[in-house]
Amino acid sequence: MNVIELRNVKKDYPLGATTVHALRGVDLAIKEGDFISIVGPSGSGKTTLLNIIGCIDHASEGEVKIHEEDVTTYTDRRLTDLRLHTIGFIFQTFNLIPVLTTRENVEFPLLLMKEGLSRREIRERAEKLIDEVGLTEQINHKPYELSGGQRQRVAIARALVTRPTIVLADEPTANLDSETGEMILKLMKELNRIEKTTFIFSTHDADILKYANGVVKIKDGLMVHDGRGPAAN
Amino acid sequence: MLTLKIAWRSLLRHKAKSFVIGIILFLGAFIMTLGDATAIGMRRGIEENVVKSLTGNVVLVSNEETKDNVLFTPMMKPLKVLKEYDRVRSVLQQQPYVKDFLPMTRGGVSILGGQEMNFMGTIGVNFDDFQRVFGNPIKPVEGHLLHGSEHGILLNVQGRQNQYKSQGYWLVPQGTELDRANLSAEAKKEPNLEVRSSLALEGFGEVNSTNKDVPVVGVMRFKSLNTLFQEVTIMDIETYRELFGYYTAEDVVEKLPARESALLSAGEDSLFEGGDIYASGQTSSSVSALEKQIKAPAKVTRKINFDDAAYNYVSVLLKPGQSVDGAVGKLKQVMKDNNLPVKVLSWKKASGQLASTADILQIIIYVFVILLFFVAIIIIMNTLSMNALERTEEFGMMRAVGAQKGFVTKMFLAETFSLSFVFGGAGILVGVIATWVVRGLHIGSAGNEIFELLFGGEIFRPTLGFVGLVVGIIGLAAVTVLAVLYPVRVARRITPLDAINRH
Repeated sequence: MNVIELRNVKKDYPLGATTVHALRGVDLAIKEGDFISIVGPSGSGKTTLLNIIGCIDHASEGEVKIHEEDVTTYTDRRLTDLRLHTIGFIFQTFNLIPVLTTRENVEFPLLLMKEGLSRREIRERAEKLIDEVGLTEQINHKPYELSGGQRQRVAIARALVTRPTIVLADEPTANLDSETGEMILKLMKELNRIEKTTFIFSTHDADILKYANGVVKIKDGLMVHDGRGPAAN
Repeated sequence: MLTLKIAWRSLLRHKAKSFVIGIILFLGAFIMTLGDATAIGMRRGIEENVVKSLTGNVVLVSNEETKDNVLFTPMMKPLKVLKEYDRVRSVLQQQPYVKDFLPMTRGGVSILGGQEMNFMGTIGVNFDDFQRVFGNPIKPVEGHLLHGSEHGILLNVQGRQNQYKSQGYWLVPQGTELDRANLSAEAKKEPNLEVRSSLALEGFGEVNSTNKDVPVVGVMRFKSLNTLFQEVTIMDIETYRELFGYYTAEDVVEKLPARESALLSAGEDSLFEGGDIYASGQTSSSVSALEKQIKAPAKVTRKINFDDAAYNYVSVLLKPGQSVDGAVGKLKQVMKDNNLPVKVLSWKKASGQLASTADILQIIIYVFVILLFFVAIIIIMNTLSMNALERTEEFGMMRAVGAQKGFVTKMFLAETFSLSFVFGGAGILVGVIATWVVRGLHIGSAGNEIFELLFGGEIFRPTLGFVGLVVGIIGLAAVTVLAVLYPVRVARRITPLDAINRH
């Protein structure tokens, strides 16, 4: 089953008197449990594509289906709700709420959900994920007390705490050293294997493509490669 | 709980901004609390001192009076005579909420025989009754206060100084020596100080004017708000009536008894009817008896009843706990029911500007606080809007992971209301404590007339009012809501995409 399906998705941005065509008609289908990498040069449209899949941006044209539902007509409230329950985000930076500790940041989406989870259940679920990303010792640390890699791991834990079916990561290793980057990718891959969560991440780094079981290559707003196995540069 | 937690920590994270906003809220709340307490203290002071020294809670005047401000008018134009006082008195005596009442007269007289023509306000009253009703609000400085049917005038100690400036002579009570210690600075410098013990006054009645030399009996001061009442002099009711051409109580006493009156008004024929007087050449015993009666002195020993003659207003004191407005309503009704030509006024209305001084002060304080709050709203709004924009990444990320716009609204409201609660609450609390402390210090006016008016008496007694506190809290809440509306709008508009673009 396709968890994500895009048909002829276009995205135009007005820029002064001209229009930038960020996406020129992308067709994409991603299955449950995929571990997909989106690659391409700067300005190719990777982030725009991720934003549209993640329902934080609207397509100018085309159809975007998440779990076979067309989300292009959703209201802001419904899209927000969809993001909360279905999609996990890992941004390059600005991932965490600066005034909350590691535990509180991970608990944050659960507290927004209001789905009858007890305080204890929320705590246990957050602690389990924090343990899985290896940050038990930093559980009460604020973001400014954590390294870049540790912050990304907190973001991964937070992205997974609601048990989403899709996790989107926009260049999750861009600001990390290669060793930490590799560790983050291994962690994501492990969670993908265990939880069957669909991961889609954009990257510039050819070294981490080996982890992906599918690569989507984008250039000038058009998809130039979609297939299993590492993509050729 | 989550919103509060984030709000509190965000406030602590942005300490400088929180402190600036907090200080503004603190000052607004503090000034409002203490200012309101000052105004209430002033109002109570004025009420206490004016009502219990001079006006009573309710004032009755003739219904021919067109204006409500009847007591402290410019030039103290005399009031119309209050007709049917006997019946008014009888009605007042029957009202259970009336503690006591006092009929008086008041008007302006001109002072003759000085350097220049000058006017003086005066109250005519039976001073023994005045002391009984108002509980001794006046103390003598020189001479003595009026007693019984004694004729004369009581000058205000400050009014006497003004009198000296305009008339050029210094007044001392009759039978007393000049007390140099009490002389004004100007009078002390005068080598040939002219001293007098009486005032040549002219009263202007409704039909004519009357001159009279009125002896100064005493120089007095009001125990409170003397500066405010410095131009008020008090004279015995009979002298006042003479000056204004009213029918006096002594006139009533000097009336002949009915038989003599009948004799005087009898016609000549009826006087000499019977012819027995001359018939035998002897004096009739009945005529002799009549002659004896006529030759006997008039019955001036009869006790004077001051109420038999003219008054022009009545001060009514209510029993404790009685509402002035309620009593005014009841008295209006009862006067109407008894067909009495009386206008019923609250002391505030009757006193005009004097009574509204506290209201004016309170309005000034409120306007000042509103201006302060307005500035506060602008500053807070600006600071919070900047704050919202600076936190674009934070809000954008929250929205990305599933926080609805409502969550952002709640968070912003929680932050601002927390500031309001802490700093505004502290402002109110410190205002309350400051009110208690200042009240406990018994700060005196030191004779300064502005302070005396501001204090509503000689001692500064700021008083906390429940309404004032509630208004303060509502005001703070309103400021908070108004200040946060625009920043909330800014914060709600932040999308995850804004955060990404900004990054």
